Amino acid sequence: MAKPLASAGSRSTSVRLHDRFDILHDVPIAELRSPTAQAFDVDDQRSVGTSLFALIADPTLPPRGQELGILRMMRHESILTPIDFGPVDWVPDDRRCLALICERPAGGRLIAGNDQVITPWSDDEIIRRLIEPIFPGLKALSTENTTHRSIRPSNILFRDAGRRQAMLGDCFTAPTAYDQPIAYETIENAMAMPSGRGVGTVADDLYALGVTVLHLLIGRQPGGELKGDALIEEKIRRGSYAALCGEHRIPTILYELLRGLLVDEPAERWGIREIDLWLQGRRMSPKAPPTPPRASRPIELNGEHLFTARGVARALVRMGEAANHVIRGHTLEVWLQRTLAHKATSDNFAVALADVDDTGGAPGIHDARLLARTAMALDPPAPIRYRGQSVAPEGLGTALAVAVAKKNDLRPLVEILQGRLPQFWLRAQPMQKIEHPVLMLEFDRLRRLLDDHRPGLGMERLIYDANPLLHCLSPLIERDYVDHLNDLLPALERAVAGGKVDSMVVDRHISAFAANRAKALDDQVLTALGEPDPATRLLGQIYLLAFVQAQCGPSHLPALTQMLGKQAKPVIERYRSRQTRARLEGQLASVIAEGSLTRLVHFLDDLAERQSDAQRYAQAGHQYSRAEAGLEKIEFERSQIEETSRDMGGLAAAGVSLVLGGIAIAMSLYRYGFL
Amino acid sequence: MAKFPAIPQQPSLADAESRRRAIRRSLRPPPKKGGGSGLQLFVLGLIFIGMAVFAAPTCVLLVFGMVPSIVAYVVNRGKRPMQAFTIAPLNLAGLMPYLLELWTGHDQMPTVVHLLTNVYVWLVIYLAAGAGWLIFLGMPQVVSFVLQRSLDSRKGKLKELQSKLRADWGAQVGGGEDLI
Repeated sequence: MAKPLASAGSRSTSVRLHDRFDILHDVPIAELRSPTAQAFDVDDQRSVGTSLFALIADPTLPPRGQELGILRMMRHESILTPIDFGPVDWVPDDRRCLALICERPAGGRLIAGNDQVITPWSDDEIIRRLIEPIFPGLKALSTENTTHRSIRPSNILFRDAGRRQAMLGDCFTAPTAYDQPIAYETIENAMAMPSGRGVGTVADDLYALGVTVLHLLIGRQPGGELKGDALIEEKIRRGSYAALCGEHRIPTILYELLRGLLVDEPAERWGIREIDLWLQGRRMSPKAPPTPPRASRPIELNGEHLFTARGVARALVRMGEAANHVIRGHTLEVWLQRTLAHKATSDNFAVALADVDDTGGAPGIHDARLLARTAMALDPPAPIRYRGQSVAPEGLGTALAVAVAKKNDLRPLVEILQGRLPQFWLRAQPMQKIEHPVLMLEFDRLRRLLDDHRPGLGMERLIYDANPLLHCLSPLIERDYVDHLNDLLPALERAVAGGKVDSMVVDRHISAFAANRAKALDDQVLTALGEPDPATRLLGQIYLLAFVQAQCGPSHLPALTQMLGKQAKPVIERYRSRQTRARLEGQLASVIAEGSLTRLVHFLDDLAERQSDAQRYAQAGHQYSRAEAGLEKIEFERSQIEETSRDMGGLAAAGVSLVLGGIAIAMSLYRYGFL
Repeated sequence: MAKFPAIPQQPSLADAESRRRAIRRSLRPPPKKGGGSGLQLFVLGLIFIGMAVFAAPTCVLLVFGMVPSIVAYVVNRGKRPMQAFTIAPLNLAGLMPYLLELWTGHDQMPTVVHLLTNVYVWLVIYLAAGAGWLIFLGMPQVVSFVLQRSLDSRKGKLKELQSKLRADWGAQVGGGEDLI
């Protein structure tokens, strides 16, 4: 990378962020590293006596952009919040990475890994060392209407050296709940894949808090030996509380709290208010968890006897393509209507079968959509399950970004949007929320975006729109970690100067990134980028980069200007006038030497010059046509010349004869004295 | 049952004949109005009779002297009998000295006879008419030559303009393929 690895004044084994924080990459802090970020010591050049450390985020994962901003403003002692963040040249990986500077917790991490077995905490310890210190943080998050979604023992830190005051660890270097084990996630979130769990609500955080409390109480991860799907099945079958507690005896003082926090129905789960009252000593009897509708007789699918709609939905998803025979057959419909007798579910199923939005598509896709809709109709709170992918609608953006970064198959995720499955999910929810209409419009917008295949739009644009802090994923500059428009042109300049680019510098990722970050970018520029004509495409590229240069600088880009200017011949040939072309070609070298893309674009595409050229060309064409018509007339006249000569010759002869005769007569008259 | 191709309907013979007649009618020139020509002939006849009565020698000399013009008029009786119009002035110019001699003399008819029996008189009159004939024959060649030169000059200027436009704007300006 051409950019200096460390700013002047910093140590040789450090990189400096924003001229203040020296990140010492030879001093890692193992106890503070998280699964998605390494931790390193930091020297603060403007130290105020606070010990700091840096988290270097995994560049293949999009950070939680919106939450990063909120947490930076919050600066709460109960939550690890960033003091500053930005990309730095990260020498160990020979690339740029996102670095986040945080206040260093003095007590380190509670446990190193989720599987670590610890001495069980007493109920008093749990309340004083864990719940009481972190509850204000959860309250503050709730006030800010955001979530942590990474509450688990391995992400609990202690802010004091005596390890008495717990605090919540990193929740911003990876997508929401990316590293959460299934035990700490609600049933619905656990069904979703890690990259597609969505922002969630404070109720999800409180559920994770409940499981964390249980973990400390029993000294190991709740759920016993059960992992993955088996644990989800157990939670569904027995309810989260029973599945996670197992045979363990829960102390009376924590029984109410755990019963309240591990309720599977989010609306019935304890909220911030209930915990606040509980901490103040008010004891409340936990509500009995509502039981899902259960049929009197089971339906047999794939050898399983199923009593609930959720169980049927999961069995159908497991069956895959074979499930379509069951969905289209009468047995399931009759079972839902007569045996389960839950009107909302059978109504949803009928809508799923006859969804008017599902038009076109190959038979395989059509069947997969039908299966996904049926699963949503039978189990509305569960994530969208489609062709091996399982995502919450709000987690689609991050799932796409992770799939692109990890080079996974994107088609199923794209088909989810194309098949309007998120919209169906929203309609299928039994409890319509205030944000659902807004989300519905947003998903419609994203689908339109996906259908627009121009550069700067399509799937790439969708990824940047859904992940506000995601850096540009173009292969040209991915390692430069360009997350702001200001850094785009310097990175491209380095790529061109390094010989990475031959001709076209703006690919689909760069155009989508620029269009996302620069909202005022003219749509016509994106249209020009997709034109088949090479001159128009090149002009579109120069326009886009010139726009970015005018907005963010820098003013001097010699390599980029040189590379694009060298290809400008087809653009100059758009002028009709040979004289104009010759003049522009003569001046091009001096314009390129200025190193300014804005100057280059004004030089190549001067509106007044183009209008004048077009007008003069039209006049020339008119003149040429008139000359052509004149030549045709001449040839016609030449073919008629014999007849014309005869006529005109006769007239001329008569005229000459009249004159000569007149003169002779006058002479005769004169001779005889008449004149 | 297989469908037969539609056969175009044949026009009846009577229809064909009437159409032919209509075409012939359309090609035929419109009938000339005889009124004008008859009036001219009547006036000419009156003048001739008047001259024969009141100026018989002049009339005789004119009839014999203007024979070339009369012949030219009879031979080439178009809408515009330019041959007669060309010959007549010079023919009259050749005759004019003898007419003046007649009008200034006393014994008129013998003078006419004397003139008409003189071969030099005939020679002068017919040479003058012949000059008119030559002018009529030669003038179209002259006009044709002048027109040819004029057309060549105009064509050259237009070709030069087109070449300049192609040089400035490329062959596309004339709808051709630009080779550069």
